[in-house]
Amino acid sequence: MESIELDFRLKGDMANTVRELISRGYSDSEEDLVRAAIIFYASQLGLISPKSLHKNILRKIKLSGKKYSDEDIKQQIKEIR
Amino acid sequence: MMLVFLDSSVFIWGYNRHNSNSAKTLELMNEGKIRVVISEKVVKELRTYFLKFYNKDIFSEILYHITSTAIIIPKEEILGEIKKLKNKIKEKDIEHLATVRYMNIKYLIAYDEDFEIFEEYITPKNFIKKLDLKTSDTDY
Repeated sequence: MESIELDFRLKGDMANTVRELISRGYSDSEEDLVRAAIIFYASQLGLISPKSLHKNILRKIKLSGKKYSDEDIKQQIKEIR
Repeated sequence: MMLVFLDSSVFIWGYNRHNSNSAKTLELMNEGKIRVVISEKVVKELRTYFLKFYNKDIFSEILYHITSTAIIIPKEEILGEIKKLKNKIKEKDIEHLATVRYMNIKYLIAYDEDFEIFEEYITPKNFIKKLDLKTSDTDY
């Protein structure tokens, strides 16, 4: 698998924007935000399709091995409101 | 293109049940047949749900999907609408409805009976039906 290692510093407005995006819950970490930004950019340019992003979610949910019943899901949704 | 608001329940049912009407609605979003609008509260609810019942990795994938496909309306933009709805509806529903009214959206798609009092509310099944598409057996 192809691998790229990034090590760089963000300053000023860029650093503030990163903090703001994380505080709003759009990402859990700086690293993940960079990944999200690359995916967003690539999707805008048509290099990644929403369908493939959707498929990744379904694949990872399946891999998690967690299976919830309809009743479980209804209850879970009530809990997060 | 039709602008619709998707509640977190549609994403949750759609990701959990890939043959549901919610999943069909997400597919319409993927294909660009509908333009989806969500509020920051939807992102927060999805975050809470997937961190609690799945894991961080799955939530990251969900963020990649929704930030690439949906329009997210920041809370600051809808403060005026929130003020109008204050004390008229349940606190938990305000941000969703304020976004719908602010963007002048016809359909608030959700699977939650608490939304039944809103004229914009429609279930995923009824939405798919409205588009003359084949529905799944499930209501969600």
